[in-house]
Amino acid sequence: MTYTGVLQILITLAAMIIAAVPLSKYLAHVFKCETTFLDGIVNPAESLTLKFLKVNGNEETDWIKYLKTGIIVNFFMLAIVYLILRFQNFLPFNQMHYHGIPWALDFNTAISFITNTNWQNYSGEEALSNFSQMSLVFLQFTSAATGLVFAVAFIRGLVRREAKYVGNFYADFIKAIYRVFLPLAVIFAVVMLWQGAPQTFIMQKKVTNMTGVKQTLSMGPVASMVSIENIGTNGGGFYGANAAQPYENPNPFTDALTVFMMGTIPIALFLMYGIMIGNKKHAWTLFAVAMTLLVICLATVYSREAHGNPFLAKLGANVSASKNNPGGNMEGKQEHIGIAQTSLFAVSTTAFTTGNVDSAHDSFMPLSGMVLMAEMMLNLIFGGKGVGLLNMLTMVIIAMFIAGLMVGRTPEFLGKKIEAKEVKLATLAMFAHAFIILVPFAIAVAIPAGLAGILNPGPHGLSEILYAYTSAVANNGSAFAGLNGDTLFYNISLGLAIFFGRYIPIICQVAIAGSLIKKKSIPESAGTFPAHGFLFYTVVMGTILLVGALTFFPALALGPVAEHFAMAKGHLFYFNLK
Amino acid sequence: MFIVGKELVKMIKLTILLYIICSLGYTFLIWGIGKIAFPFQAGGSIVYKNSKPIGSMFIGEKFASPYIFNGRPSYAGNGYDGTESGGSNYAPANGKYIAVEKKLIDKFLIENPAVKKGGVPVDIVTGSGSGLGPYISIAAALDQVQRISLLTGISETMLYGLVRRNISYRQFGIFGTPGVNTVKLNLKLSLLLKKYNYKLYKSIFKGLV
Repeated sequence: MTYTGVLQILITLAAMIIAAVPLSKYLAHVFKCETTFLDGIVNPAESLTLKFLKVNGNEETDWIKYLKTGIIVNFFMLAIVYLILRFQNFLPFNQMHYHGIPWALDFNTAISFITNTNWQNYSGEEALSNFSQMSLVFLQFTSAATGLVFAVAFIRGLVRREAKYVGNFYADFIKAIYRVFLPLAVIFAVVMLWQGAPQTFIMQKKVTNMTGVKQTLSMGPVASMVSIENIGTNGGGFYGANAAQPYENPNPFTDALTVFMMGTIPIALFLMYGIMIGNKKHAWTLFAVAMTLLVICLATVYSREAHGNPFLAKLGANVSASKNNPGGNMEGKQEHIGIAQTSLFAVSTTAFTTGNVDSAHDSFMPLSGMVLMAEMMLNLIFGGKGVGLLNMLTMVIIAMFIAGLMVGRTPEFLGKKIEAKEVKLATLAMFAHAFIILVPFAIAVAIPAGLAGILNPGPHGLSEILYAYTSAVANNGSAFAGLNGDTLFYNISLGLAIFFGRYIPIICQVAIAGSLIKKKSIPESAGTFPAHGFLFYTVVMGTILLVGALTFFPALALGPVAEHFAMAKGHLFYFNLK
Repeated sequence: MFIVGKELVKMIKLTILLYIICSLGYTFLIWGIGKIAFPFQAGGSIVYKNSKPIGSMFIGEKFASPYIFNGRPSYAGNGYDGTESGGSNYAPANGKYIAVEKKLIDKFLIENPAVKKGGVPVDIVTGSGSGLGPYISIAAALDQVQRISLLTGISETMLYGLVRRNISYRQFGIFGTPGVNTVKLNLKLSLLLKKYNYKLYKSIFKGLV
């Protein structure tokens, strides 16, 4: 670990927090339907759109209709992209004459993109036409907007008292796209373009290198995709190697910028929540919980990666950092980006559930890999668009319930009684998450079709499968990419894990909002548990760590922990040679 | 739970409208901006020599010959294949990986006798995440100078100077790690070789002649 490395990390994190504050105010204005500086341009576009749809934007609905509309709209969007990918050979911008995507892979891909997961069992430059890539960009906008508006509906459930309606799905959805994602995507796409990301409809460029070697460079509309894939915390890149491919991430500045794009909105959503409920202290306390976890993860990953691989040191490589030699665990990392920024990128992409990678996570040291998995298992360290906040609030409800039990009072949260219904729904959301990760994981390691995909022997092979299901259910999309996921078994099982992992928790969470919105507010008294400050911080943190540790520790112990201790003893792993 | 047809029409209209805006409209807008403001970057930052495209400064190339600066091992296709980005994905304690590494480290030690065991810069024997990264560490470039000097006859001093002049420092003094872009470095090396050993230049830099 170097001072410069720490400074690189601090600057990026500070930039995110500083930018998140004004952004959170803007977001709160947007979803409280107050005036913003973009009104002049966006208002006419918005009212035109609503008129075209024949929707009255002021007509609010209850949570059931809101949720139902959202999910059915998602289904139509999924269908359109499924068809485009399936029949890409009949569509334009396909100079390479790529075939239609086979149904199982197409199923996996379409589900993966509509749910903000962006798990990729294909390699973009080898399988998709530019037209197909562009259709994925469409889902990158809409999936991010879906997560965001569900979070907004949830917050309204907390804020409104003795009410029924949570909002109008169409109006919120269009606002999210027109006022948040489109403007930001355009700005950052231009920056990426300027820095060197291509934007062309030519799919391949043939060149003859200076040494006479023939090389073919894959390109396409990369800049536009890189921008929204990160702003929407989608993570599905244009290339197989995602942001490790220099065209997607040309230099260390764009690397830091990518982290900035991923993280700023999720952080701003925590603060927006504080503004909307009128309790900023509460939001900043939750921010502190998430930030503490982020920093712990970051410190672990950075120190493990900077330490390097002891086996290579034994063979004669120099893994310790010096002026001319950055050292560390360089397998699968870009030299000019370096260990510190790569660690920050990896920790951010799993915290903000983006799933974009600028390095091969599979080649990380065992404990680093474990941290990345743990972040996705918790899935609330700021998290993806909207859902991270929802998961955090679910955990808060459980924490309040436990705290209530301890002092023998009916638990309250923000002036509303937390009763059996909310606790049941919150527990269901939490257990669904763990269940959908661990059960398919257990099945996959027990059957030949699951084991067939493994690249690395020993506990790391187990980690590859565990990482896959964790990433799928957390709607992250990054991978221990050694695992070959393009098989019938993985396409279907991961596709289903992604689907249930997204919609079951969201349905439970919006249902909690639907239940809370009807309640009347109870006045604060001396016995009210404060929803901010150190005590609240400790209770929430304790609940997160206890619940997370108890649920996932056994699986992690068999994978990365076992690998770590075996490595420390100098043990190498081989496949049984038969 | 019943959804009327009218409601479905709204949803389908929303889907189609947003598809047109977010997929087609947005991509073409950025494409237009690229065409006007950043035509070079938008086209992939392709470098031309003798009006023939020779590659991109962003994308590494297969530099296997001992006469020039070698890059990092690449797992993209058969090495630096611009259509198959990807890393090795080897786990750090995979026995097969360590065997591969042993070969790479021993090869580097044999080719560059000036380097002592324990001093091989780790980046030069490990693959990048995409297999297309053009950068190596400064140490990895300096360590190759003696070999190149012996084989080409260009003095070590000149080659050291060449490496030092082509270091990419941290961006804005802060981001990234200092390193050397092998595409840029070898292109500069070709100029030296052209001057001092034209015959060798013609046989090594076939793409420039």
